[in-house]
Parts: sequence; structure tokens; C-alpha cells
Amino acid sequence: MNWQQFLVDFLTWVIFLYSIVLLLCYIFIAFYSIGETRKYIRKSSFTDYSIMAVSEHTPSISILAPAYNEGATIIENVRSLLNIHYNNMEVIVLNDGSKDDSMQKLMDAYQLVEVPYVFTAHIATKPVRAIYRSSNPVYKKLLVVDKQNGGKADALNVGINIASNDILVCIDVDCILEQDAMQKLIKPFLEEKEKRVIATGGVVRIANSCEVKDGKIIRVHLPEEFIPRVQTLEYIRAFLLGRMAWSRLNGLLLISGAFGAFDREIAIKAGGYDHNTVGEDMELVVRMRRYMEEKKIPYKVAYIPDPLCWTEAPASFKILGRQRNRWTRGTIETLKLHRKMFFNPSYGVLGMISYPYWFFFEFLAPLIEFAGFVAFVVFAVLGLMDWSFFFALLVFILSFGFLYSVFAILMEVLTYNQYRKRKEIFNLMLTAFLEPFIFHPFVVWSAVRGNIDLLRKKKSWGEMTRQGFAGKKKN
Amino acid sequence: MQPGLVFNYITLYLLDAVVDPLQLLAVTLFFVCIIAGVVLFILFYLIRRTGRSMRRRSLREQYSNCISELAVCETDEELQSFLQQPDTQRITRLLEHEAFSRRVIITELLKTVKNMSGNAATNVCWFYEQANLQHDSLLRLQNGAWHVKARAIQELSGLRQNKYITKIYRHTNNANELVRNEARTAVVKLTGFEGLRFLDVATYPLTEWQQLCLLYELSLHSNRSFEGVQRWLQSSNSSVTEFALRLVEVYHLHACFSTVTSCLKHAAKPVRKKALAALKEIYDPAINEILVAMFPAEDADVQILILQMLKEFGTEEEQAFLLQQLLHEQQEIKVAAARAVYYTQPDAESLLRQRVQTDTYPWNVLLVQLKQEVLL
Repeated sequence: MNWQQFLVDFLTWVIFLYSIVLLLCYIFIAFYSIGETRKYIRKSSFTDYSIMAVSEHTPSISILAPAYNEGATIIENVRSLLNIHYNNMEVIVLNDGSKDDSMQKLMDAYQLVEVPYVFTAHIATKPVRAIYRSSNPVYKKLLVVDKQNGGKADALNVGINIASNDILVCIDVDCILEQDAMQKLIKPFLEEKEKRVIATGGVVRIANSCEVKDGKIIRVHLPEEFIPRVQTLEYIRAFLLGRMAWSRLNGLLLISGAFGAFDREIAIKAGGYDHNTVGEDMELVVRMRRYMEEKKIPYKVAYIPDPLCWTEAPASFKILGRQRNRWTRGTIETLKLHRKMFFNPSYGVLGMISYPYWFFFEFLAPLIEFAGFVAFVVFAVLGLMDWSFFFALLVFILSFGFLYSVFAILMEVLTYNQYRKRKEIFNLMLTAFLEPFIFHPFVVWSAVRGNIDLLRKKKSWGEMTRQGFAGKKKN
Repeated sequence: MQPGLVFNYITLYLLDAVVDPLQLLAVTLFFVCIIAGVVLFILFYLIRRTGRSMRRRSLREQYSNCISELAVCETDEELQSFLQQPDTQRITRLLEHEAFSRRVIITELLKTVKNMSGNAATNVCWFYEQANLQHDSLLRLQNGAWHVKARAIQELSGLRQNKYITKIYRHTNNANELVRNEARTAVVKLTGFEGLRFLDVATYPLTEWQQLCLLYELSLHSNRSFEGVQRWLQSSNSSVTEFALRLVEVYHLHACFSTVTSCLKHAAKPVRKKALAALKEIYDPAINEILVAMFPAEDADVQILILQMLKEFGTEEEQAFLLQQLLHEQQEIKVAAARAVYYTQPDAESLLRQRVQTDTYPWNVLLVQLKQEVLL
């Protein structure tokens, strides 16, 4: 055997095994998530969450809401945070050096006055300019921090320093929360005796085309536009299947930055958010887990399949591309920062399963796929392609991908069933069929660009223009 | 997560050597069959669910009228005449033959009784027995599936079936957490403080959530009995001790003072923290000395709780101790100590000015902050 033959055989088997393992992972995730979701739903059906809304014995929480140039909606967003049904809480709005009139609007609307406020800078941050409280006792839960601009992670770190409660809830101010979202998010902290719950997260759903009134979702609709609709499908797959399976394994690496709760003490001990990465939400979870593993403290990162939070998804390829580019950079930066854990048995599930999975199947997959596409074009041009085999493999892969999506839709129908109309379910299936041709290649390309941008040391967050929830259609 | 086209094009060329295209097509056909099956199942499920939800809605409407009439009955004669009404007889006949109807009405009765009290709630529970619906709940209690069993316990307790308390009590130490929690909540719901006797034999821990549920149920009972609290405070199950401390805190059980004080030496930190919270409610000046003595050996979070207590109850006796803590290396402890000094010591401001540099951070800000706090 000459070396070229050896190389081809070697590559053949490596990629063959890679693909087989990946498909098996998807099958495992799909089935493994079922038990966890079913158990949660059954358990939840016995739970009277209203007890938590009124009890004085619920753990006190600090809600951290970073805001940057949110002047158009800040008043309403803060009002909806203050209206959350939870007894023991403080709301800390972190104005990250906004260039618009956010701060003035807050001061006027909530009758804010500057107060002296001592706090410990556990985590180094950009300077705090002033801290405000309302002179109106109705808003006594509100604390507004005006700080020098330092990015979302830096703002959240200020919040961690200033918070006076043991549990931190980090939230994007423009998210819409379900009525009992906070109770559901906090409950896992009350349920464990043997392990310390260090973080909890819940399902984020896409609010495009939904009817919104007074900061609440009145009626859920499947997004009318293709790009948000396909993201709806993506989110169902990721949240209802992927994260539930990882939660069952206690191997979850990511809690959405849009809405998650953290143990303040552990977050501080782990060093808080890293402002040098654009994937600060994933990085914090990984670092907190790493800290617990290194200290040998039994712990858990809990996940809830309930839809708790609704957010607006990018509706254009331009914005979507920026988002996926940033996600890719965030993933790589996090993996690079914690490379010590790669197949390191002293980190348990985290080192032996979660990290390698993310490395091989989240970071490498788009790169391999892109390389494959280039190779395909080259082989096709050179006339080296076995077309019968090409089509056999193509339909095999498309059918597997479609099956996985249809399974996720089935789980959605059997569990939370947010989309009530039969037409919407079948529309979702049609979207699943179209996804590999229209949406997926773009996502792969964005991920490749993310890799390139990272090599070029690009650090920007990428502007995320939103349409806003106002004036949504009303049927 | 994107399955999409991960199985990429390079594989396509290379795999030619190892996989037969016909085999691939066979597997694809298999996938297509599963997809068709799943799609058909979804369609069938959606149609069936629509049918069931329409049926459920229609049953609910019938039952809600019936339950409204039932709720306003005031005498036995009225209840008997309610049973003889044609609508009630029709519903009773329906309940005899249809398991689905029975399930729907049990859920409706449970919801109704939750929002009612007095005679109306008693009537609803009476109808549950008259329609022999408790038989369904008891059958479910025998079921092996934990969620079915737990649901049955919830039905029996929600509809006040005190006569089955022994059957429910057996599950208060069930290996399944959900069954155990429901049974514990149920016995307290049915018998109030007396139901807490399961704490004597509880081997599994009581989670914080379970404790919240029990406290909530207890708050609905007016006949209070704290017979077992002393015993539970000394339980080998530390979560039972925690719960007993919560009872002391909520119901101000001053008689337990010495046992609660001994909990300050408990090996489990959550117990010590809850003991401090309980002592705040049953305060006795003798505790200050103990707090000062235990302070050095504690973790920072417990130390802060101690200083918060001294902020409420500190005297001049603790002045030297508090002033010493102003020099502590952790800022949060320094601040808590300064707050305790400010709230409890005479001429606190000049005391602080003597001990710390009040023109530098954090003292310069803290003094202003404390002044404002006191004014508010």
C-alpha cells in the first residue's frame, strides 16, 4: 500500500466513524430526552407554583437586566420586570453606558435619585458612575446602576457585585416572560438536598408573529417569515431534545443568556462573566462547572423544558449571519479557554462527554461539512464523482435530518404544543423539509466566517437590530 | 444542534469504498417509512386530541352547572333532592359507565374544592363519595406508576377523604420522591399539625420545596400543636431539624429556645443558618454571648448572619467584638459589622470615625448610606 492509498483509507474511516458517531449521538439524544421531559411534565402537573409566589420562605433573588441603548422600550421592559410574580426579589437594571436617553427616561419614569451604596468588587469591572433608587416606595425593588460601557459581560459582573441575594437571574430586558417563569426557574434550587444546584435554565421560544399586549404573549403563532420559522424548529430541536438529554446526563454546558439563574456565590468564586469572549453565557456555565469539579463539590445544572421566555429571532440573513458568527466565536473561545478538560477524566461527564461532544460536533461539524462541500465541487469538476452513490447518500442524509426534525415536532405536539392549529404543525414540517436546502448552508457558512473572524481576532458583538414586539398582527 | 448535512460531501466520495449505495437506499427507505409513521401519528393524535378536548369541554360545562347547584345546598334534604334531579341522575349514569368522564369530573371537583370553603366545599366532597369516585382514586393508589399513585393521593386529600389517611400515611416514606412528597403534604392537609408525625420516622430528606409546601398547608390550619418540635429539632435527619427550626421561626416557639441554641453547634451549615433565623424570632439576650463565641469558627456567610442578628439585638457588651470586626479582611463582614455598630451602639458615628478612615472608600460612602437607611 502506498502512502496516498493509506491516506485516503485513513480519511475514509475517520470520517465514516465521525459520521456514524454523530448520527448515533442524535439518536441517543432524541430517545434520552424523552424520559427527562416526561418525568418533568408529570412532576410539574402536581406542582402548585402559586405557593412560591406568596411564600415568605422562597429564596430571595436578584434580577440582573443589562441595557444598552434600549431607550425605545426601557420603561416598559423594566415595568414588566417589576411586575414579575415573585415575593423576595430585587431588580437591578444595569445601564451599560448607553449613548441614547435610556438613563434619563428611567430617571423620569421611576423617580430615581442617586444613593450612596457600598458594594464589594468581587469581580473587576468598568467603573460604576452612580447607583439610583426610586423615591417612590412602589418601586422599592428597583435599583438602577449607571456604569461606563464595557459590554454585556461587564455589566452583568457589576450586577453580580452589587446583588444582595444568593440567586442571580440574568435576563435580556427585551424578553417576554411567562407569568410563572420565575417560580419555575427557581424551583430546582429548592429541590436538591444531595447536590448543590449552581444554575438553571429554561426553554426560550421565538415570539415573531405572536400577539403581544402589555408585555405579555396573548396568542402564540408560528412565525410567518421563513427565517424565524426555521429558527423555531431549530429551537424546538435544541431545547426539547438536546438540552433535556444533556440535563439528564448532568452535562449541560449552555444556559441561554436570555434567561438563566445562577448561584451567586459560585459565580463569584468562578470569577464571574468573562468579558473577553462573545459567548459569555456558555463560558460562565463551563467555568462554574469546572470550579465545582475541581473542588469536588457535588453539583447540578438543571434545565426546564417549560417555555419560560419569548424572544424575537433575527428575521433577515444579515442579522442571522452576525448572530451565528458570534455563537461560533463564543463556542471556540470557550472551548479554547477550557481545553484542559478535553478528555480529562478528573472532570467526569464534563471532561469526557460534554466537552468532546461540543468540540467534535458543534465546533468541527460546520468546518468538516464546508470542507466536504469544497471537495465535492472539486471532484465533480474533475469527473471523479460516483453520481449513483452521491444521490444514495444525499437522500439518506436528508431523510435522517428530516426524521430528526419530525421527531422533535412530535415531542412538541405531545408535550407543550404551543402551536395549536394543525396547519401550523404541517407548516413546521414543510419548513423542516426546506431547511437543508435554504437555511442550513447559510448557517454553515456563517459558522465558517465565525472561524475566519476569530483567526482575524475580531471581537465585535455584531449589531442585532430588532423589529420589536409592538404592532404585531392581531388576528 | 443541526443534523442537516453534517454527513458531508467528502464522506460521499470516500465512503464509496465501504458502503454499498443499495444498502444506503434501503436504510433511507426505512427512514422514510418511520417519517410517514410519525407524520400519520401526529395527524391522528391531533384529531384525537381535538375530539377529546371538545368532549372534555362539553363535560365541564355540564359538570360546572351541576357543581354550582351542589355548592349552594344547605341541608340534607336539599342534597337529596339535588341527587334526584334529572340532570344529576344523567351525570351519575354517565359516571358509572365512562372512565374518561370520571377523570374529568374528579379534576373539576378538585379545582372547585380548592377555591371553596365551608359548606360548599363539604358538599363537593360529599358528592365525590356519593358518585363512588373515591373508588377510582383508591384503584389508582394501588397502581405501580409513581405519577398515578401521586395523583391519587392528591385527589383523596384534596377531596378530604380523611378515612383513607392510613393508606396515604404508608407512603410518607415512599422511595419515590414525588409519591412521598404528595403523601406528606396530604397527611398535613387532612390532619394539620398532627400529620407531621411522619417526621419521627422520615429517613429521606425533606427538600426546601417540600418544606414550603408543608408550611403552606399548616398555615391553613388553626388547631396548632407543637408536641413533636423538640424531638424533631434533635432528629438525626438534618432536613427534619431544618424544618423544625422553620416551625420555631414561623410560630415563635419560645419554649424551644435551648434546643434551638444547641442547633448552632450542628455539623450541617444549613441547620446552623436556620437556627440563627429561628433565634431572631425567639430572641433572648443570653444568645449574644453564644453568637460572639461561635463567630470565629464560622464561614463568611454565617458570620454575616451573626452580624445581622447583632444589628438587631446587639448591646454595649458586644461593642469591642463589633469594633474588632471593622478590621476584618473581608469587606462584606466589615460593612455588616459597621452596620451593627451604627444601629446598636451609642454615639456610633464617632466610634466609627475613631476606628476607621472615614474619608476613604468604603467608609465615606457607608456612613452616608447608613444615615439614609436610618432616616428611611
